[in-house]
Amino acid sequence: MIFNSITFLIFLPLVVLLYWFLPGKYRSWMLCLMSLVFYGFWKPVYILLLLFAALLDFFVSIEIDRHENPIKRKRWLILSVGLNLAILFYFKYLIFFTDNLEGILNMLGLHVSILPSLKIILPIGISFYTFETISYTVDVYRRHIKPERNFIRYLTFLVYFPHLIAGPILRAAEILPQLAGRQAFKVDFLVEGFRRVLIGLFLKVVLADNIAPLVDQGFALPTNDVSAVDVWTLSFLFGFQIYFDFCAYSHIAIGSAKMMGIHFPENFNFPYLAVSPKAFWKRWHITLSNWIRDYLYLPLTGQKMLHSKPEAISEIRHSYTIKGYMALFLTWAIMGFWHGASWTFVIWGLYHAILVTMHRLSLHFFKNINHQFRNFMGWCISLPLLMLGWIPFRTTNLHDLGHYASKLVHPSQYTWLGLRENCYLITFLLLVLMLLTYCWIEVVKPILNKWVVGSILDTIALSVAVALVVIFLRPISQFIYFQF
Amino acid sequence: MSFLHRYRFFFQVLLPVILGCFLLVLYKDRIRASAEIGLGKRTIAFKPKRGDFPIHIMNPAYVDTLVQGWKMRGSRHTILWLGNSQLHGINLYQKGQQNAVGMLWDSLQSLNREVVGVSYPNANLQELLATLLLVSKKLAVKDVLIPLFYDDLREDGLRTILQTDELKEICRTQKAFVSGLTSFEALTAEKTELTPKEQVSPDFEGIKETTQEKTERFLNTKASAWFNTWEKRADMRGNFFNTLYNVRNRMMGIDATTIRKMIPGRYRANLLAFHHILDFCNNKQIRLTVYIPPLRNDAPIPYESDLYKEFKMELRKECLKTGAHFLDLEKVVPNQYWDRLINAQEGSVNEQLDYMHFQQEGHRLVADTIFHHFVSLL
Repeated sequence: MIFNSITFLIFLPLVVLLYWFLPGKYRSWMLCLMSLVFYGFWKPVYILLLLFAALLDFFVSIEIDRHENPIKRKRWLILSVGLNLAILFYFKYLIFFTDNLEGILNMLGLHVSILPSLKIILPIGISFYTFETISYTVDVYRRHIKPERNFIRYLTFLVYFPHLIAGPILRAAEILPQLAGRQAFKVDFLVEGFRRVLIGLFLKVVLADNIAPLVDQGFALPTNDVSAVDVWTLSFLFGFQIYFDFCAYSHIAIGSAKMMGIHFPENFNFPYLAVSPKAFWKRWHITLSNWIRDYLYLPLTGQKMLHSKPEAISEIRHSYTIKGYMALFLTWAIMGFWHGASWTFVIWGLYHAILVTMHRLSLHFFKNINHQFRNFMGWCISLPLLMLGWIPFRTTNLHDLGHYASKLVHPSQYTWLGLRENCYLITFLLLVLMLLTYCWIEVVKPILNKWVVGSILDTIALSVAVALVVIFLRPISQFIYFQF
Repeated sequence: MSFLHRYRFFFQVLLPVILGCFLLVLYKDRIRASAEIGLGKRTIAFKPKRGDFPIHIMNPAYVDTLVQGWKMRGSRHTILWLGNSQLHGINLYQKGQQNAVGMLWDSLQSLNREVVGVSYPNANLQELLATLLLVSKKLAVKDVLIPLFYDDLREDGLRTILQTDELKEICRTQKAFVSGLTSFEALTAEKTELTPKEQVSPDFEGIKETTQEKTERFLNTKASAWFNTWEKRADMRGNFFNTLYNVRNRMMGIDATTIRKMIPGRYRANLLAFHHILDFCNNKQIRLTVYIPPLRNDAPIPYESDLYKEFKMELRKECLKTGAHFLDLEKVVPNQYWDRLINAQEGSVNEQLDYMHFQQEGHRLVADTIFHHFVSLL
């Protein structure tokens, strides 16, 4: 089920009502059932795949916990992780790998077809729930958590509808205790949840969905018809689109869970105000960054987590050795590949690895500069570079990507414009609005909230948001991250 | 403050929902149909009928009705007149008046011929090509009449109402006539599920082919039936964007006389579409008449004049080369038949020159000129 739909706006209050009216012991059952219904609104048959993944890790984690022998524990872990990745590989990467292999064989003069033309539908949310099941099994293996013995509760953790399709990527240690507890009703849950859902819907249906046509038209143009200024503009425009889109999903997910008194970790924190590429990844898709750090980067660098909470590592010891940088680049390549089976995503990942490396290497040159000035300059340099990273992310093939890149280095490509004037204007306005919103939330609102005027303005803003959401609410497009 | 906090559910949830709905109801009564926003307050969209059937449509969904009428009248030699809002817009309309399509239809009776019109606001040449492919498949078109608006070459792509499965089928079988046009790429792709015509709507694109699609369509139909406000959401969106455009124009000093810069990629795509129209007509032995549309002469044109002249010369040359007829109607409609475009938004006094729409007399002059052109071709 898609959030930006009437169906969801009926479904959510119904689930919330049931949740608070049902006795505590039935809540998990109800949430589990309703979450499967939620998933079934896409393609019901893929519920079976979800159930398989849940059953596999439920029993494997118990086996891991039961054994004391490290070799046996490791074998169970490998079985679980291997099967999960194999399923992910089949649905997401098989066609990509066979296409590439066939391409290489063709270049060598061997014209063979490895697989008949396959039509594999990517199960929605598979990348997200695969990561969640893997982290659960690994946490049990690392003895950070005890395995859950109640299958329904475990299944609810995995399929809980707010986060099922596009995150935030949850850890069992964060959610299972909340599902096991008997939460008492508080009106604040509804107030805060409503606000988050409304903000999310506003970001999605009013902003992201209306920026999308401009981005689509821009990227659909033949690359010869696009200037360097247009490449920059499109990178910013898509940067805003994907931010509003994904941040919207996270808001709705967090808000929906909040209505049931369940707390999800935050996934975004004004990422485009980051003063460095490293800071960006502490503000963008935070739960994925943390997952990649804890389950991929740290093991590759040989560091260990003390427990499964994301705050376990407060200070990572960065390795400035060849091995450290190899780990960094490998992590980022995998991060890119997680987003999609395409070389453009790998390039996107590696581009970020280069940015992070450059940032690390440049740190000691600027340590004596005034802190505020350094942050300001850091933002001025980081923002365009981070936005430019969206070009490989959005481009569908390497050929176009090459063309866009070549445009950027030719001075003659900065002398003409290929998009409608509105694109440039909207991009500029979005940037200004983002800065103003940040100032409003961080500076003005806390002051106004001390007086009645703050509450009045708040109510007016929410009312306008309600009206605009109703006008624009259409399942016109999925959330971008559904495809990952 | 403690009062506000105590009743926070009311102030932060219920009240915003109630006020939001109230705002919607207020807004609903102040809006105009989306298709007419760009016409201004004193111009209406006119679609003439003959008997029970239209001879001019603004939506390809009605092509079948158009064809049905043509058949009922004896499937005579027919001219297909394509265009933008200039064709359907009548400024200072009074009851009983009609547009150029209606007038030409009447004049052509003496020649035992008829004309049918299809026009969309800001139609670009790619859309006119798509319409030509679509209509000529169902109706034996003998002549095609196309205006070349310099302004509309800034537009790109195909509007959703054109992206029907019928057009997809045509594009797949006649790829040569749409090749090189990115706006047609999605239509020529082999893999596309066919959907019933009435379901062609971008509104459900995100849940296409999922179980939710049925539920959502059902709920949407019910909501539209129960709440007039819900049904008017498309118009509200159109009006909302129009307000934003007006704010932009006022803030940036943009008006009807502001020079519109040509956008290279869009210009090229539309010229390519024009070449496909020429090829298609030659291939199907359809006689093509291309005309430069009327422009008001009492104000400087809102284009870069050198480029505009170049554009006219280039197209004239192309027409001569391919045997298409070329008419320059730029000075056909005198100044008194043009009006000012009064902003479509309620309460606004933003009055600007209208470079596009003229009064019925203007339509008459255009229809007469074109009629004489067809007489000369006999």
